[in-house]
Amino acid sequence: MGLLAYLIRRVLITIPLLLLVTLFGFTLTYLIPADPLAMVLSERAMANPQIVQAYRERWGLDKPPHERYLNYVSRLLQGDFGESIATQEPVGRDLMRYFPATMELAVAATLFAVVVGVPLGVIAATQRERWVDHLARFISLVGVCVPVFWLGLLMLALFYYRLQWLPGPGRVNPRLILPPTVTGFLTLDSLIAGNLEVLSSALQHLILPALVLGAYSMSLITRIVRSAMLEVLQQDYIRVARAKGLTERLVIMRHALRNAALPSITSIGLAFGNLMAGAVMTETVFAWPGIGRYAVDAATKLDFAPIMGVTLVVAGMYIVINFVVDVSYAIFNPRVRLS
Amino acid sequence: MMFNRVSSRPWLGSVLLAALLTACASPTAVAPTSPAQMPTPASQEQRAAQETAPTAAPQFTAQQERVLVVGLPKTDIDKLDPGRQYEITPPQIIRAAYETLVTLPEKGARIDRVEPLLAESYDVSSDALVYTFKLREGVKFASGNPLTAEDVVFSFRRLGNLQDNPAWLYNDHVQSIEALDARTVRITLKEPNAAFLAMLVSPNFSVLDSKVVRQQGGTDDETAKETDKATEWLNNNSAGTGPYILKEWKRNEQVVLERNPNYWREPAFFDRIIFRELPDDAARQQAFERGDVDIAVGLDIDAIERLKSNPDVVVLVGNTLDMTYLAMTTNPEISPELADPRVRRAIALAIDYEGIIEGLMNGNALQLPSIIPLGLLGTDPNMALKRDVEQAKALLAEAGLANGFTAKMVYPGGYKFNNVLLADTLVAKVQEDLKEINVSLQVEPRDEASWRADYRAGKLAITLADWTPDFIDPHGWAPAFAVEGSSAARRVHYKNAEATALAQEAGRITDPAKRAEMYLKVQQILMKDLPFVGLIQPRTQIVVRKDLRGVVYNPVYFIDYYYVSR
Repeated sequence: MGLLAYLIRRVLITIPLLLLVTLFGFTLTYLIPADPLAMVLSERAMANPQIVQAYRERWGLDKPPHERYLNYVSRLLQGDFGESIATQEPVGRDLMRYFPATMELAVAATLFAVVVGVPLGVIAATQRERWVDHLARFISLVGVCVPVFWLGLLMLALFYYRLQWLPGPGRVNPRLILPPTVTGFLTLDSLIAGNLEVLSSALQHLILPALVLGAYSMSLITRIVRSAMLEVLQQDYIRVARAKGLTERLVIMRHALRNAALPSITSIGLAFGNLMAGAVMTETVFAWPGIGRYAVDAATKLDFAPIMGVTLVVAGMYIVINFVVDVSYAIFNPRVRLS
Repeated sequence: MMFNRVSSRPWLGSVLLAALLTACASPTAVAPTSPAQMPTPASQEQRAAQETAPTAAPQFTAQQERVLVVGLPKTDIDKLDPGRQYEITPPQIIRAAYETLVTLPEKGARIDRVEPLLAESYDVSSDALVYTFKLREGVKFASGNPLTAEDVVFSFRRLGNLQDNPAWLYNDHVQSIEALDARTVRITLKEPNAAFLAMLVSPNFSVLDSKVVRQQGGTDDETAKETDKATEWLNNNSAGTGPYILKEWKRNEQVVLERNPNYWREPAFFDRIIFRELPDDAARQQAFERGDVDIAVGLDIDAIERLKSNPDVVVLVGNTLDMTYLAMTTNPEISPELADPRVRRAIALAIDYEGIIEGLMNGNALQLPSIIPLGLLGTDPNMALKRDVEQAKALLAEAGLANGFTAKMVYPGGYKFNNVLLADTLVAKVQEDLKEINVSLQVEPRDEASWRADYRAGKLAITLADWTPDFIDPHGWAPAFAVEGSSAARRVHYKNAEATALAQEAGRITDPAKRAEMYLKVQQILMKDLPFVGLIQPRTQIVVRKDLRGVVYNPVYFIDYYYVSR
């Protein structure tokens, strides 16, 4: 069975999986004993039967639940995510705006986590029980324990307010005129448009939130790489490699790290998924217009279509991450077969 | 958290009333700018010289442009269509792009009367039933179209026929509206209403450019709730006569206004106003102190105290028309104890009002006597109850409950009443206070939606709640709380024929002195029956950079940015 067949099967499995997610999401939203209109309409409007009736009709709330669900799914299958009751805007367009903002942040955070976390883990393992190891373990302990919002405020107070090295909250200097949206990643869009001023502002604005959001993943990766490396370094083949007279550098990079990569990749994948959970706080502190804040708004307003939209996107993202992790297993370890 | 839809009246949100300080001390500085302050040709040349791509993507910097940045907390902006929005933040933006027939005098500092704006004059029939407006001559929309009576008719009818959140403002009151000629509009009400002029100050009664809105798919006919398609356009653009034009709205991020070059009065001062949403209080404060934000809204009390010593900062203080209150059922099936007025009075007397205001609000609130905020017609701060634990105990004993009783209090956990007072904190305080008279509150935090649903359905025995203004007239409060079966009264099953009659009648007569007397009477009855106990009317503090002039707060649209200059 080739890679193509494997790919097709994975994609096909995704469809019933996502449908199940919608059913689950719909049931949960439906079971909450509150009227979604009560969160959208004012007291005066709620007391006015015509307005309430107009809303019920427009949003299909006068229909039985199974009909509402089937309606939603049939629109979904045509690529329509429905509309938010609160804003009356199409959810698909919202997702296209908020999701890339969070993804950009999450990618930057993961990049930071990997670039710092992996070497730190490797160094800690090779320098076991030396001061570097203790420092690395201390950093990773702090990174795992510190609450995101606190770290965010601390970073802002230091680098934005006190030292004035970096810009404050927001995605870009609000006074700049932004390039047209292509990818939704502001850094890429400004690069495509050749607008270096926006690019530079966007990159500077990305540093602090990426650092804060990535701190947890970085710590996790450091710890896992360290322990995986420690285990691998005990193995016979490492002893053999050393006995062959290979340089320590080659032993670590080629023989040890490649074998320690497998558990590390899983943790990087999971950490990327976890970023979504941390994103709400980071997005709040850094005024980042992302999917986390969008999701919280939707949930507090019991706004069905946005809740479902976010759920689907996050579920979809986990599916993609799992897939990428599986494929990268095969790449890093030829003994793993995709089947 | 600014998404306080809680109470009924979001659009007037956490706003301030009379006695407002202005950043600008000069009372004559009504005109926001003089021609000399407008961008000079020199500065424009300078700008052009520095621009790399002057036509395709102009890149401005702060020095070349007059930009005002307003830092807002998490906002509740969900629409910017004046016919649909009914939240707390949008009015200040809508007010900059649109205007109404009448407005509040003195840049909004006075709330006890209205004055003409788009109307040149108006006439109210002696029975408060027919309102006739003569429009000002020479007023143009931002598009250049002249303002006509047809635009007023279109805008108001559209408000009603959209059947959206604010539609009741029109549908519940207006019988008919007609353009008598190009500059005269006559509105006939369904029944006499002395508060109608106060309602017309609402941004929902903004006058829209009917030609532009129709071009964008808007309509004012009966089918508007299904066929009007202009909202998407109106969320990102504006079609008003106001001093600024809506240029961009990115939800959860920012709103950008630009100066309206066709404004009928002197043009506004700023080239652009940027409303930035900075949801974290500490981050917003840092942005203000760093100079990235000129006006910061909703900072926490400690930060404001610290900023007061900063010579470059002015802190504006004003009384909102918001209120947080205690509600107790009068229905014996829900609580036999609370249904006894003596028990409700005992509870009202056991509450430590001063402790709530000084301890929980750091003094940033007034004690609300009843259910009409202080400052409005027919209110009297001296009516407020004082704590008297002994009398409270005596009343309980009289009601046969000398050993106290237990009541269940459902409340919205984590919710902030009037955006300032955390529900859990207030609940804990009230619970402590009532322990002293042996009344034990079994508290149950819920999510906001299900608490609201149960409260609205009249299922709760005792709870805390808040309310924000709909329009600046006691008629916005008295009927809702005093009239049997109305939106607030039915939640506690309150029935009192005298209060009902008085609250209804007071809205129908035009004599202010007589109305004031009747509203006082309504409150006296409510304070005898005590289905509601007024707790606090919060003050709002807003920090403003000292070089800004003309910042005045008012309870309808927060700040009228036309008057703000640097």
